[in-house]
Amino acid sequence: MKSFRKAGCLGMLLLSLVVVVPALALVSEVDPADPGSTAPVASVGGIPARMMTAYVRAAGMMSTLVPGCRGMAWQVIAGIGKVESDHADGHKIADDGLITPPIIGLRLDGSGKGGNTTPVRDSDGGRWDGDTEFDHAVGPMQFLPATFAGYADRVRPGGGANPNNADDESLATALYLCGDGRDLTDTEQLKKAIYSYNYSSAYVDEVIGWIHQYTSLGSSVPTGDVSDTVKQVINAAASQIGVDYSWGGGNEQGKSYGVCCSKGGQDGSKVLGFDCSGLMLFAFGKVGVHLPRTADQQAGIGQRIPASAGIAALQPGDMVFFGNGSEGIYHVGLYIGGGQMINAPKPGDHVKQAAVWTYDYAGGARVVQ
Amino acid sequence: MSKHPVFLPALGAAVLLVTGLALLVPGTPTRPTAAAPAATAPAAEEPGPTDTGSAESPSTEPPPTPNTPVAAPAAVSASAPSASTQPTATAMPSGIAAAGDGPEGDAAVQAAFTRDHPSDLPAADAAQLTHLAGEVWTAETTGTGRSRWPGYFPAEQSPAASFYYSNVRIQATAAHTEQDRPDRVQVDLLWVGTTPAGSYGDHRPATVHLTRTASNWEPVR
Repeated sequence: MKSFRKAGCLGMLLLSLVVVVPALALVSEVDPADPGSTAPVASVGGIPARMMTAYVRAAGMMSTLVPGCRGMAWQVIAGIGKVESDHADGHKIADDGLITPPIIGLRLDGSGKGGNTTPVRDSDGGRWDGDTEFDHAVGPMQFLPATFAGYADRVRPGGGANPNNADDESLATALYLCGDGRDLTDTEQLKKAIYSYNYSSAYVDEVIGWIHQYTSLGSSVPTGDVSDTVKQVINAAASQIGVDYSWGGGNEQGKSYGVCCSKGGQDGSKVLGFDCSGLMLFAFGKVGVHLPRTADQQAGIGQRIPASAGIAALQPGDMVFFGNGSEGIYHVGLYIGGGQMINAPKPGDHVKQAAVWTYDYAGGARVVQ
Repeated sequence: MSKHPVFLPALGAAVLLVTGLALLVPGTPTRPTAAAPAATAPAAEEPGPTDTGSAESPSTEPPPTPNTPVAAPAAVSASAPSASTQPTATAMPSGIAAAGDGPEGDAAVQAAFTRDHPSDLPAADAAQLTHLAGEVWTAETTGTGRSRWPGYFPAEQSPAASFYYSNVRIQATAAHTEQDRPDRVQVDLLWVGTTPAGSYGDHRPATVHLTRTASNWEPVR
């Protein structure tokens, strides 16, 4: 993610307008009646609209291209796209789907870089990866050139398929996952399909987590315009994006020096900033709501949004919590809609906007609306 | 089963457990009661209040567990806040690490995990098998060491570039028998890693299944 550490106060103000307003606007775009449709979900989960179009289109074509395939949805392709390239983050996507500059992965020369210890000799004459000796994964779904070549004719029967075209690679991904006609509504078959894409249980967990997240968001109830109070809370948090994380830092007046020391050894007394709950103190303090100091305490007030309801039950302005059975609540962020939150994530980091984590989600608390 | 001295890991685990439990006892030197939440509250990730002000308790209700909703003590709104806790001067070190708190916070994570996942195995066996599971999971996430278990990790090339995490670290482990079978063990663990796209995460849950062979323990899916 980009760093905003050097942004001044004016920069923060401008940033808040840029970040928050779209984040709020996208929530009202979700259509609960048709979560799979193209336009209404165009901004869900921070997915660029053009990538979403590619995902929805590819999923929709499976009923024709692989009639035996069941359960292919845009969320499945989006899960792969999120994990592989964060939906082509940092790249431009033209109206025709072409991604520039092209997404080209590490050189797979077996050197161990990036964990690659098995060399993959060139298969495309350097056409897609610019390397005539070894292959690189290419495109937003990070296909190997040889694999993509096997789908090129089905993706564009007239020729011209390009792995750095969002439509082409999304369609190749859908075709690969559908195989000869998998039933992806069956969780075990879905997991096997993802595992076949990349032989790693951690990878499967990661993709499944995002599929669930997008599925939940795609069926969430539109919240419409948020109140001025909620806007003030979100704008207050957004105005602090880029401020350092400080263990024990932050109060209703703003950033402050924290205390020594976190379990991991951060001396907050030397860092001016916020910890996760300190950021909540500041944001909600702007509207006269005085919160307790720590995340687990903050989880105990207001209207509780149970984790079992999923993140679709959250509304912008809710606090969103993370925890597990052994440690309890250990983190809090401010939900801003569309599966996104503003939070002070960890020592050594800074306040930022991020997707709601796909694990340890512990529900929310609503103290303003 | 154990071919190596195991008393040191076992002793370490015991020390961690005792330390972790001690941190949860109200009134211990590291957890001043004045700023503590309700006695039944789970440990918080952050330190407590940092400057002067009221020490009023924010709530009489214990915080919720992750999956259990709690009755709201009061509906808080901008016009009628129910909690008013101003920071106080005393830090309140918690019993657990913050999200992303680094390797030095792992002992606290392990202590809490051990408390929540008590093992039914002899300490020496648990230490050996959790170590093995950690190696398997490291191979799973980084690719390093996969050749040790060729039956568990297929050798063929996947259609996409291998997806390996960086800066992988095992934060906590817990082993227990599976399906009441003496030849099967399940190891639950929490781990840290960064995806190739740069997405950091810790407290990531995972499970490794192990089965006893004629001469060893091997991972199985």
